[in-house]
Amino acid sequence: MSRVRTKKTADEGWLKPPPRRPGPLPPDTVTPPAEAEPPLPSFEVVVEKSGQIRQAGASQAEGEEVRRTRARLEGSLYQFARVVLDYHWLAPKLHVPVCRFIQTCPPRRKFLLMPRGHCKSTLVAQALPLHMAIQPAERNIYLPGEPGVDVTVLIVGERLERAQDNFRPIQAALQENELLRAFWPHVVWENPRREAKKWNDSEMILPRSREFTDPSFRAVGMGAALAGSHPKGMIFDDLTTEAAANSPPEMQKAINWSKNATAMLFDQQFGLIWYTGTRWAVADLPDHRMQNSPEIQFNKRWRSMVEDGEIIYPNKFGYEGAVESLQKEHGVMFPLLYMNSVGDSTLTDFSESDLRFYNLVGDELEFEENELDAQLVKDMNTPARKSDLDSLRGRPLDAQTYALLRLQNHVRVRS
Amino acid sequence: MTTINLADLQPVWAFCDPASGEASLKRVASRSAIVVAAPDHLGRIFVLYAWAARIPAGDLMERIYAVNERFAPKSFGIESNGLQTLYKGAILRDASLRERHLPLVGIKQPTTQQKDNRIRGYLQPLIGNGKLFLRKDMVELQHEIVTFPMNPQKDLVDALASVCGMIPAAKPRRRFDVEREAKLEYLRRSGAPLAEVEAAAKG
Repeated sequence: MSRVRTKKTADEGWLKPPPRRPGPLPPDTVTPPAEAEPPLPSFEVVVEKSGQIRQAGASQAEGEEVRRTRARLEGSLYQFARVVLDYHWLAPKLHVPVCRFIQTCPPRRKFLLMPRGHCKSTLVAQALPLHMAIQPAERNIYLPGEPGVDVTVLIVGERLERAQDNFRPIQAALQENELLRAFWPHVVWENPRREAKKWNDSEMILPRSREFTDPSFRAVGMGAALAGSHPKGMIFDDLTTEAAANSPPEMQKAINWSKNATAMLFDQQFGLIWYTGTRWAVADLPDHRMQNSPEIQFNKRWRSMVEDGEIIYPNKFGYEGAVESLQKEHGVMFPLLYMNSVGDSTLTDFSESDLRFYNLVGDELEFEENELDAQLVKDMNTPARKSDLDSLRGRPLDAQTYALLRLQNHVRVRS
Repeated sequence: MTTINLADLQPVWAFCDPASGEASLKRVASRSAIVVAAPDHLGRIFVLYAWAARIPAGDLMERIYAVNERFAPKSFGIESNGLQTLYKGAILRDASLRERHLPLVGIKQPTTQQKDNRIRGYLQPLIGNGKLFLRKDMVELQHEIVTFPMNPQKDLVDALASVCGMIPAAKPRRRFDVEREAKLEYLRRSGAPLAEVEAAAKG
């Protein structure tokens, strides 16, 4: 058996695992393909009614297997999201490397640029804050040396409602997720609405070891007043979408606000910032960050829904004619939203491949010539087309040449 | 690899598009831009300098002097639509007070034509035929070109189009050759002295 199981009491026997529960810990690797991967250690975990967790068959809670499993989940955002949060729609081939990119610190400033509907917000704005909170102080992969439960994360959306949409699954997991509550009981309240100092739809305080000015998680909309707030981590989720794309001042406002907001970090050196986004316009927030913020690491891959001729997220877009139907549906926005490409010929006039470059070496310009130059030289030096007059050029005007000129209509006689 | 000496790229042309206002925190605003370019004998255009920023009028004036000194352009175009004429006049007055030569030429952009169409009209034949050369480090200009017309920032690409509009089209060699050959033929037939034929051949 390699399945996470739940059990209410010893007498009731095994409950049928709910369909949403995944099997073994998902592979934390991209290549080789799943079928060729070495078998992963399976585990069975039983959550008692008391909330304690133990390995199936073990008489005591907190066995070696449970500790090992917990450590694995704490060390892998992908496994945490897939197993504990039950994000069964994640695809290992795509989301394992994406999660590695998200959780690898340093670098501490990252921008995840992915097409629409590829789970970037799910991972960064929903799973990541929880994963940060469950980190043990001795193995904290995000804020080394600090207990995860002391984290303070600001989750920013384009509007407050969007940020709260991401906030709700976090809250639900902390209140209801059996596995989360059993593996990390120190992170959750028994009755949060009564015990927590803040527990509403935009602020939550976990049972942390000491008090901070910021709540553990706070959801705000872009443009919110943040003076006095000093979170340890910031998540900017899709700050610039349609409204900003259609309004340059709105776009600039988003760029300036996010730039100023990063100054609020509790620790400028070790504070963490994640951006997620999709291209909506040429001069948008991702573009601005690419051009002006060298400290931010951008993902090089997974930017377009098709890479090397393959759909990167076949679980969702693997159906026949997916690309064509999206192209048809989104028209000129398709290259932006699904390919994160602003250089597409449907959007712009000039192709990058048509530009030519030279190097300045001392006083000389060096460049590669190509067939266009050869054609140019040919055009510029082609002899002129012979005209009717060429045969008469330079000959004295006499009766014969006059007759020829008259014949070719080059002479006009006044009546 | 082909090489061209900078000195062979003559004459040089420059264009400045002055924008009003200084750096702003509020919103997207156009920047002042200067682009310098020079054609070769085949009509290929080499962009020698591209700069854009939002700076005060006095600083822009100093930059115009600096660019003029560095590249010695044959003409330094400056956009002179509406109140920009005043700025051109101010620069010229300043130049005369400093006793410095500035080949400033006011250029009125047609207001009946859309800016994007004008830019497209100048740049499409050049870029499409591989006749526009940039330096690799002109990243901003390159970005504005490849994102045109979607990018709201068009200062550099606009200045580039304007400078390209100032550069006279390269004349095919054949026109000169045909004329000269015809003259030589005439002189030979008419029995002109050899020295005269030689002089005509040398132009």
